[in-house]
Amino acid sequence: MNCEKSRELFADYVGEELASSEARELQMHLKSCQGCRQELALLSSTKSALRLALPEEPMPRRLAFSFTKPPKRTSWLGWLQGRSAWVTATACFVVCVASLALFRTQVRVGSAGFEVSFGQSSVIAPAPTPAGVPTVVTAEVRKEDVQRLIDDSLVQAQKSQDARFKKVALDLQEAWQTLRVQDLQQINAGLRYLEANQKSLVQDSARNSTFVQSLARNFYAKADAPGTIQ
Amino acid sequence: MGLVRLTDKDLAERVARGDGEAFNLLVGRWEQKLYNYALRLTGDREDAFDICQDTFVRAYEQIGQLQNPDKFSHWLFKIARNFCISLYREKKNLPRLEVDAESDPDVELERLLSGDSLIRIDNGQRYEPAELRLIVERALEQLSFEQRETVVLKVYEGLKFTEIAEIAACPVSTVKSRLYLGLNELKKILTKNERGAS
Repeated sequence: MNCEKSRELFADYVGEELASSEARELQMHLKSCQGCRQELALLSSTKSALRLALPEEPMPRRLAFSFTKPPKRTSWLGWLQGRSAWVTATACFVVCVASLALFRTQVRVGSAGFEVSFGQSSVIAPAPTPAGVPTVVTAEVRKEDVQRLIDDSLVQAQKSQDARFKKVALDLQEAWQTLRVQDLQQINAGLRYLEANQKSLVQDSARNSTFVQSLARNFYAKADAPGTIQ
Repeated sequence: MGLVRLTDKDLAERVARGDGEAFNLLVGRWEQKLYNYALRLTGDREDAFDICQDTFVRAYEQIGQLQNPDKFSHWLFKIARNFCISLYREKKNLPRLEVDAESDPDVELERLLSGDSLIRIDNGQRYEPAELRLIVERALEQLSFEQRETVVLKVYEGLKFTEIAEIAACPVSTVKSRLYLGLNELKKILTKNERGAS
């Protein structure tokens, strides 16, 4: 291995991602090359100095969010991007069928192939009637039957109205509960935020006083040293 | 509560369905890391805090666009990175104020601290933590944004080269080269500082 190839591996070494085979080769080269050895040692100690110089700091204050709106939904195209091919194909099929229905598409298949047309057709052929089935059915309707039908409809309407009222009441109750839970969460988040704020204030003042003390020590040490400060 | 044991992926999926509590758990897990990442890139606590806050708001708004919830943290770092880049460009375009060094206590303090620093990066000898901090912060500022970002993600966050490449949207070889060049530059700045001190 030469110096150029060796330097290519310095980033891997410092980044602690050097493969063992490469590590052996690099080691052999370093044994014989003082320049590379020195450079790599300096890079490593630079990395250590960086770590020592900027240790992780605590947040000045903790974050807590309370959103009133749910996150944005992705567009239908974005939705498709994250799905499997099978789901995508099914979604496309549903869209095709829905469009065919929406635009009143007609597909005619004949001996010459098939023809597709959109919109209301001027002539619509009647559906073929199976042989033996009468096309028009007539029956005599009695007054009692009509009354019974009306009564049944009234009862059905009453039942469905009751069910709707019940559903609305349940929905209202649920919405109220949700709002209550959200309010409580908001209050809790606020309390947590206040508490964290208080802690961070205490930590800040402690840190500041240590820093000021160290500066003062440093300053007076230099002032005491002969000839440093005029 | 059961939510605490959930993975980032599970929580991100809950957030996408509008679960605010799950989001605040994710915030609690990542705010510290994100704040320090932004702090080391910007060198300013206020900016870092604002970036951290803006990143989480953007993340909440756009969580529906997260393709792979397994990589929630990388996605978060990417958002923060974009905010850092915007701030970096904004500050780069601002005219630099000519400060009278004698009248500015901060500048005087920096000069006092860096003037006869005891830093010894080759054998790890004596230095004041505050001194080293200022010197390293100033040295990091002299790197290009890409080099600084690579150094921060590798040295402080301990990410793999492939992960950094994903966040920075560049090939792994570029990441390695940025790390090497960045550390080399820092080494030069720090040793120069040391020579100036002795």
